Amino acid sequence: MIRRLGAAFLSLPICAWSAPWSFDAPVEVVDRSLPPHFQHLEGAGRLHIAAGERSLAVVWEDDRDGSPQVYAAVKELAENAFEPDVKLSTGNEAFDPAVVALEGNRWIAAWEQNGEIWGSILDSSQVTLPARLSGGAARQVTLAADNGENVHAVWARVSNGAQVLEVAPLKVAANLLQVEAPVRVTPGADTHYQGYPAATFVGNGRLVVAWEDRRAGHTRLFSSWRKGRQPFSPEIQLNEHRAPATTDDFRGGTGVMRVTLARGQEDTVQAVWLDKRNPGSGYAVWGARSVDGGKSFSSNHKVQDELGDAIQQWHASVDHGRVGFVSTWDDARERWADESETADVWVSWQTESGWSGDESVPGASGAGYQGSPAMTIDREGDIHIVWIERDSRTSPGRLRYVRGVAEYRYR
Amino acid sequence: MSVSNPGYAGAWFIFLAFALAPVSFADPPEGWAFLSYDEASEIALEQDKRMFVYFGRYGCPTCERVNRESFVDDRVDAKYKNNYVLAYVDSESGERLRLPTGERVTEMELGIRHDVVGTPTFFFMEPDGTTILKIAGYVSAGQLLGLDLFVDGEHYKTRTLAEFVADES
Repeated sequence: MIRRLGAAFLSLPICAWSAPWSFDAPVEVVDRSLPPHFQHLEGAGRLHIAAGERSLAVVWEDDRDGSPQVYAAVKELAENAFEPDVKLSTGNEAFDPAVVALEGNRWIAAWEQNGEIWGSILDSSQVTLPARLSGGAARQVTLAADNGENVHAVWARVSNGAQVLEVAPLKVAANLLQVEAPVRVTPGADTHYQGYPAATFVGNGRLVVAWEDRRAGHTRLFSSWRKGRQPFSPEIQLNEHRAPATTDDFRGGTGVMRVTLARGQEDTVQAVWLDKRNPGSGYAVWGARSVDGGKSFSSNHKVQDELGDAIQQWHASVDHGRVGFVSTWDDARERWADESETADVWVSWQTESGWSGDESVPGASGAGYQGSPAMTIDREGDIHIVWIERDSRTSPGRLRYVRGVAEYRYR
Repeated sequence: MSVSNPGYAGAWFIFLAFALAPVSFADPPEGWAFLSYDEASEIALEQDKRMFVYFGRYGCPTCERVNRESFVDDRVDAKYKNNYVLAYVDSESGERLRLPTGERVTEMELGIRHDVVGTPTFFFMEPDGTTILKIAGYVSAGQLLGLDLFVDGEHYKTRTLAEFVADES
């Protein structure tokens, strides 16, 4: 409501925007009766949905059996119903899954299980036995796939209270998931905190990694890249850190977290993250773009529009399709008009001048909580979004999905 | 502590306007036994004791200032350690908690659910987790003592904070 009022009264460019997708009716990912339980779409890089040639897979965590476990469900791209879901994890507790598509309608999923990283291969009919990927305690795993073949996992190895990032190539051999020896992303002592990595491949097999780093006494975002098995490049800082305007000795920064990455055309890479540089309104969606395969990034730019400025955003992610880069997140801007609207899912896409005005996603907005979205764009340009729907922010919920058919396909 | 402290009433305007100081540092104040939110919730229920929940953020300068200037006050130390079960939440952290509903969430997610915008943000909660009072931004030792008087004296059951401040000023 506020968005529409704002658009009516202010002659902002957002009046001209119209989403480049036509959305189907949303459906439940788990279309069967289960006791009330809690679902989560949480994890490094927010890779909870991945589209292959003809099908897509969704991975999430829920506690339907009394403990948090990781599940997956697959559907044909053109269908509007999922196959029965399958449980991927086998431990006492499992969290933070990620999934990427392989060639031939198969996927690799990875997740945290009993404090280590595990993974498996799935297709529309079966799941391989999970394999342990990390050699010890680790968390916050993400994945990157190059043309559906070359897959790498990136995770935070936990050691003496510190976290350092490791990258490990994965191999599919005789339908088994195998892992090569991991390597550090950055040199140095295991004494500080690196976490929540995001990763993507660009041209010529170059892997770009971005992450949170706390060594300076506050959180900053860094990125690095490597080609093939060469050493990683020296890290560069992604976020433009604004030191607080104090003259005393209080250290600190303005707060950034949960970076995500997507590959565009040629050597273009878009980073999107949550950034608290404007403290009065909390976290907002900010980003930076590289046109040289992650060797350098542009100055930071805001992704959301002005009508989202006065409220904070959560769970942002980015992908790339025919319209360019696309970002989704949730925020509660419409709560100003209706107290029951505790979060809606929003989408913005790349335009010639930057990013479009924000559009709420049909079926993922309105009364109640619709949040924690994850998104992928398939080869036809259709957008696929999953999110958590709850009556209130603390009640058990449902995992929902919607497809947006690319505009050029229905014109 | 007395609410007639010099400069006390004026300082309340900072609260009531919810003026958020530039964000932020840190861990809990040194020498304070802040628990994780789920540990604190369990103890609060067991002991039927109110909670004082500190939502901070790693790198939050205002949190560091509150830690160094306000939580070092002996009167604050005595009142808060005696009257509340203390919990600290890093609102950017991926550390997991178990809520009373059984749900496992990250500390970041807990901050989202409590509409934490700036840090520090302080919550006074009933033993069952119901919010009594939410205060965002810098708080002085005097303000902390006033808030304790409002909550521990159970004035919140009959008056708003604004009414309490007006009556006591």
